[in-house]
Amino acid sequence: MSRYVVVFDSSEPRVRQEAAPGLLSEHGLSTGRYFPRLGIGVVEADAGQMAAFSSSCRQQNHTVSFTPELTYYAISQPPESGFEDTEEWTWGLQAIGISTAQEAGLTGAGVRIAVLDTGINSGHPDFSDRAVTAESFIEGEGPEDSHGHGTHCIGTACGPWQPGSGPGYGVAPGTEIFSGKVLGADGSGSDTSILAGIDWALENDCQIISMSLGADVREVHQPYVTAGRRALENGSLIVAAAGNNAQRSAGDQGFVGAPANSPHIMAVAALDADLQVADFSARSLPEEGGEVNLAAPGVDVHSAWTGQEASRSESGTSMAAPHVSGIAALICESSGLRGEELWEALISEAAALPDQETEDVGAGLAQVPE
Amino acid sequence: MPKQQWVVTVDDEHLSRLSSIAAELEAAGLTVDRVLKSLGQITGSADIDDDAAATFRSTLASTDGVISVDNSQQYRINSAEQ
Repeated sequence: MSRYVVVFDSSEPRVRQEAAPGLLSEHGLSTGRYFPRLGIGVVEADAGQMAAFSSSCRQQNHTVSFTPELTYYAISQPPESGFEDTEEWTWGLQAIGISTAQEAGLTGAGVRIAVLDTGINSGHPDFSDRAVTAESFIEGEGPEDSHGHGTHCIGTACGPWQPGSGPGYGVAPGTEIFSGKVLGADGSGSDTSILAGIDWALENDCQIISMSLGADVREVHQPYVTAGRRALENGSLIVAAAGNNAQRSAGDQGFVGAPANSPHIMAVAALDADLQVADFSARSLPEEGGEVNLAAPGVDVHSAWTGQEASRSESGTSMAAPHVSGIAALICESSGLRGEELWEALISEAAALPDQETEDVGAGLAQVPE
Repeated sequence: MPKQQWVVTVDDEHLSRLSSIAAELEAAGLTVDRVLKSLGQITGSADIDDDAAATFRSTLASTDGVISVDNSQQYRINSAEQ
């Protein structure tokens, strides 16, 4: 016995709805999977049965065809896992498919990324030939990064493919860098500085705003609902770290914090090199906007640092968000998409992670488009 | 008295009046920190104790064109080893 798809090719509803089921039953074929509106059914039969059925249909002048049923699979294959840093690339860049960008010559050229964080180590040799605009929104502090976190995030989104030493660690090395210091040397900041940074990024027409910061509060903070919407309307996509308040190994899945839990702000979860959700990476909230939208590499991520340390390996949803921001720049360069359309392109290009929960990884692993 | 920080959001219809709304908030007692033209938001502070804060907030919220007045929150880097 095999499964066959039977098609009654008739424009007459009477044939599809009355004659067809009768003919099927006469030949001992089930009508349980016959769809009268379409005139199509799936039946189990042997070849002899089908031949007899076909011949009676012909005698009654019904145009019928049948073919063996095919099995279909989702086009996207689960990505490989078990990545590790090589001499050429960090594991994260391999996982997002950086070789596709390299082959296509996409570097994010002409795209402006604002990273709102602890500033930038402007003296870092890996950024010496780059266009950098730096501003501080922290009272009493200049735009220099005395913490290191900001430089690390800028490195992941915008850093080089061939740095002075170590593997290539930046997704979009052709981008123009806008470093807005909205968190002080202690790594913290307030709405006052963060919103000022977003406003500054919009004034400078940055297509992407990357924010590896958050507060562990479930409540949506109203100013970011408006800010996210107005940013999208201005053609700027805000990408934010989902939060690190989970401790999955102890049974706590955590929750997406502010401002990533606002609608119109993309929330990014962290994956490890086996493409499993990171122990600390926060889970979706049930409210609108509280979902994790995408996931990206966020465990043991090698990137630039500050002071005497040229580079460092760090973990956090902080490290995942700038991977997505860099990919957004590559998509923006190749397609010109901005705002809401850029958001949708990022989601549709993601690689599904079938062994992970949607509420943990959203649409899946962010990918450089083919 | 503690310094309270606020974020005032202006509705879409009043964006062109952002500067004059900032002046009205200032007249009501808010020390305006920044007027964020692209976002249509105004950040500011007032030296005010917690008991009076709710009343003050209502005053700011009743200004024509204002859709929300929110207390400023604190945020941190989202790196796992903090």
